[in-house]
Amino acid sequence: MARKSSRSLSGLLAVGLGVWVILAAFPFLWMAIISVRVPVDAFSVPPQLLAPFTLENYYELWVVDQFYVKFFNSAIVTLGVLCVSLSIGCLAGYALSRYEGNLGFWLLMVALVFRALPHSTLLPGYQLAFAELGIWNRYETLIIVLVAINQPFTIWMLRSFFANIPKDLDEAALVDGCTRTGAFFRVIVPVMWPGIVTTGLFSFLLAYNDFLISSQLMNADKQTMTAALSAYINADDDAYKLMQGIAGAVSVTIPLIFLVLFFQRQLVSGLVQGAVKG
Amino acid sequence: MRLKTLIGFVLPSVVAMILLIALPLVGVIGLSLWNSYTKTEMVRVEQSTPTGKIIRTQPRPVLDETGKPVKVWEFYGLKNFLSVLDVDGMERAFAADRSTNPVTGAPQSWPERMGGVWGDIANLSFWGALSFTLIYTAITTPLVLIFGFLIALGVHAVVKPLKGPLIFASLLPFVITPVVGALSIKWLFLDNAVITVMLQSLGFGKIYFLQNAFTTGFLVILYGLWHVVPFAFIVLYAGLQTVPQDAVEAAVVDGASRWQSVRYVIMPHLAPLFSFVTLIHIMDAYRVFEPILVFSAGQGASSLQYLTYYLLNGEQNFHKASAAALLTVVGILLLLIPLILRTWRTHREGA
Amino acid sequence: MHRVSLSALVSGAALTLLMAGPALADCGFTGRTGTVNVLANSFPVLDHMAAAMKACAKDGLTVNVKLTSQLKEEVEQAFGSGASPFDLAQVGTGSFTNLAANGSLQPITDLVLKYKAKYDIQYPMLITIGKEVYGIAFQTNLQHLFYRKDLLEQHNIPVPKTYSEVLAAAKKLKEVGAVENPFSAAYKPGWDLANEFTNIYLSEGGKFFADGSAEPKFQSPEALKTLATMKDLVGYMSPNALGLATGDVTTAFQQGTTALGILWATRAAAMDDAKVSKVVGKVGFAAAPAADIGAPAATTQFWDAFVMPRSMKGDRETAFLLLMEATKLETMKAAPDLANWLRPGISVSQYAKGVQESVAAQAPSFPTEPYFSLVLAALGQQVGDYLAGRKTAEQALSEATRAYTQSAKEKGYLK
Repeated sequence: MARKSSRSLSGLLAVGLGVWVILAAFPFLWMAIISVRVPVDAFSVPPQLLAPFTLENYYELWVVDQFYVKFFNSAIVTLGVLCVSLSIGCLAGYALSRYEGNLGFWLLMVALVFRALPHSTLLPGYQLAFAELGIWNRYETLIIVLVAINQPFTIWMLRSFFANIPKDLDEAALVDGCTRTGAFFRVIVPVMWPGIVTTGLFSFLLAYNDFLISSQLMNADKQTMTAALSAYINADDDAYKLMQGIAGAVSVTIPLIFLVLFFQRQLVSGLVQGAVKG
Repeated sequence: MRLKTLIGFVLPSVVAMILLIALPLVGVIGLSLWNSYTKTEMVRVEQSTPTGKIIRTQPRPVLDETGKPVKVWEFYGLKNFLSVLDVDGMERAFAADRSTNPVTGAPQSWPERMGGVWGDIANLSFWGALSFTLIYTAITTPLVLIFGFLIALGVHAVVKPLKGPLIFASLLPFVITPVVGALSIKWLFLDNAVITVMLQSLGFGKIYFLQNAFTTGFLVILYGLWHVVPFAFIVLYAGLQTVPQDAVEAAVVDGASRWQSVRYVIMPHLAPLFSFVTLIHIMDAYRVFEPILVFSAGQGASSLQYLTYYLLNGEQNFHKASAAALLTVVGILLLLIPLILRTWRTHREGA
Repeated sequence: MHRVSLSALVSGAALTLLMAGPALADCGFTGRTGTVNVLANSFPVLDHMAAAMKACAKDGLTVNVKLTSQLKEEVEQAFGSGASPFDLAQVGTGSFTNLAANGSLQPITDLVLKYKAKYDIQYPMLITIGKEVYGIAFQTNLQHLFYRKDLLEQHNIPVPKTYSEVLAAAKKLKEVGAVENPFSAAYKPGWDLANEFTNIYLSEGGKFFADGSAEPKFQSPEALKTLATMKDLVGYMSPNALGLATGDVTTAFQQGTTALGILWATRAAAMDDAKVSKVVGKVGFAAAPAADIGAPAATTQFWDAFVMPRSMKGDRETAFLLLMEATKLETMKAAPDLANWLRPGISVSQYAKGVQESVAAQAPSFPTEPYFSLVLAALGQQVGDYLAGRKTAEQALSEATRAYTQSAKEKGYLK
């Protein structure tokens, strides 16, 4: 009896997981399939499972339209956000995990409220100020804006990682004559790498996936891939452009796939850290 | 740690947040209390374009000595908020004569009249957006938790070589760029698209997913689940790894069924994770935007952040858009305040 | 598999080279330096014009052209700010009106006079208010009737000239089951839907405003008739009608699921491209139907133009010269079918038929009152509510009027 129920349970399990995997991956798979078709086949009525193969959409996008420029922009912005956000986030996260007074608590709570703000709320303010100051359309500007938006989350997450590192560790270093800064760099940072990697992955996702802010603050040749994509996908005037947009969407997703493949374990451990303490 | 050290360490992050989050927010508050427009005068003028020449009276901007258009600023106080909340519209909804049905002319009962009032209010942009935002949050939150937990249990139970591919596939919808994700879903549900045709051949008939508020809302919710369930799954799955194995085994030895060990051993252990996922999801659900835009909703399924976007881009009214954005923030604060207060109490007791 | 992909890549490359068409003419000026930032729509025609501008980017001159799908929002925000990040922008009729009303545009009369001879600026290209030139237009566009020649012939249906004929034709097509959805048009709530309302309403003889004022006048018998026509049309559209954008209507034609529709003239050529269409040679073009016999065609004429902001960072003469390069005869001639070019004698193919017939049938210009965009915003929502059955026609119109009045007051057009 028990074995029978266990067998039907594992059957249910297989079916359930199978359905979920199809649901999760199918939209992306379908997009990848139609990205190697000409428009008339891609949006065919009725839909076709098989259709002639072509790389024209990719060729047009990457070679003719020089999408690689956007790729480098994405790389610069994403790496910039990653470095700045993590370095200043580590300092803040560490200090907040060691400080016991009320100020630290309220800083964290304010950060939580900032985390909840809709990003579109801030946009009108940016546009007016940056055009006036003449710092519009610069990598630095976009990076620092994305860092600020990302910071509440980074601080929260890093703080919970630091809280897991025993206080005795840095206090011992302090006793040995290190300053706070010295203790932080010599003792804490070396054991913090897993936490930094995980938090970094989330910062990466935020900077890489951001559409709203990047598309508004950057001009022509400095746009990121995600922002540039919308000009293709919303160009419903032209089926060719749309197809290039789909090829672009697949291209944008490929780095994310590698990211998930390489950092799966950190992603999982990072989430559970952030969750348990957050 | 001393206060001075703390300040030194947090300064860069705090400066960035003050300059780029807090200051713009103050600006938005300012904008919401004012109204501004370009001063114009009506003049008779000839205008010629490729499609013809017209002479008519039309507004022309008034310029100052330096040749710049003159801007008029009026202090509006709470007027922008009242107009976003559509207080007038609500008054009309309550004041309307509902003794008879406007279409059939039949006399209406009290519940029908109340239904009419509610229907009219839900037709007002703000209240429609608020109600869909709340419905979206209320429906997706439990489903995200349930599905996420079930998948986590499932992946936890399969043989090891399958785990990697399963986690990988599950994470896809979570990491994908939201606009791209929403589009990839929309293309499956259009007229004659893959899913529509598949459902038809399975005997469900031809379903038109964008035909009314209900079906569009359904699609938005479906997208929401697809996008967020992986997040819940991965958090809960990670949590499952930390459940002490001997506790589960002890429960089984004591004669607990599978369900009982899940209910009384695993779920209590994961309780903080459930509340973490709930918190994050409520914050995100409250500002749902991309699917509304992509599914060309607005038609019956609107959201608070979509309303802000519409006021900004459709009506081009910075001031009203600011008011709408602030009302959204107020909503978030209402959700967060109980939580903050509770944490504050534990913090003080701990200190 | 590997071989297939490689050969496809090669043939794709060869095709692209073929499709690139005649090479663009060289840049017609030299000796200018600095940076000029340009903003334009992401339509193929603007891609083409951007290439003409970029041909001048050498010897110390940098030309950045941002092609965006959110042109209206971006250009109005940029030009409205104290110092516009863009020195030159392409705008449609609606944006031009808004920008002019806000005083955000720069008069370019002096530059037009200086370069009129060199670049052969044609009179219809100039957009003037009073005595000043504020923009250089390069193309016109309008929506007209697209129809399936084969299906109409097969079922003995004449090409409809009025909306009652459209409805009769649609009814017949539906009865015989000739096609999935007899009629299609972009009825997505917002700008698209309000624009469809405008088309029919103007043909009905409706007025939006009292003469010489911003006073709303669209709570009228003509508006009720327009709404009734629209509701009838929805009956022959896809049940997803209120989700249809222009791209969806184009696809419906190209995939053969619709037989009659209102679409932009710029889409005509794409009906005969076998790589995007299954109905090559089967689609005909005619004037937009009228609301009634003898009424003007139910569509409005649009134009696209380049304008410069009142406050700019780049050099105005360099920006103007780039504009001249984009709109010179050689640039237009290099791609005659990409647009309905404003210089005479360039765009005269069969795909211009719908435009010519509509203009001959007295299609009016798109309304250029500065407060018209506020009407569109109000109607875009309320007409949708009416068609979805959430409001009666009278309710929808009175709420649209109320919403318009409020926003016109906020913008200072009404007291």
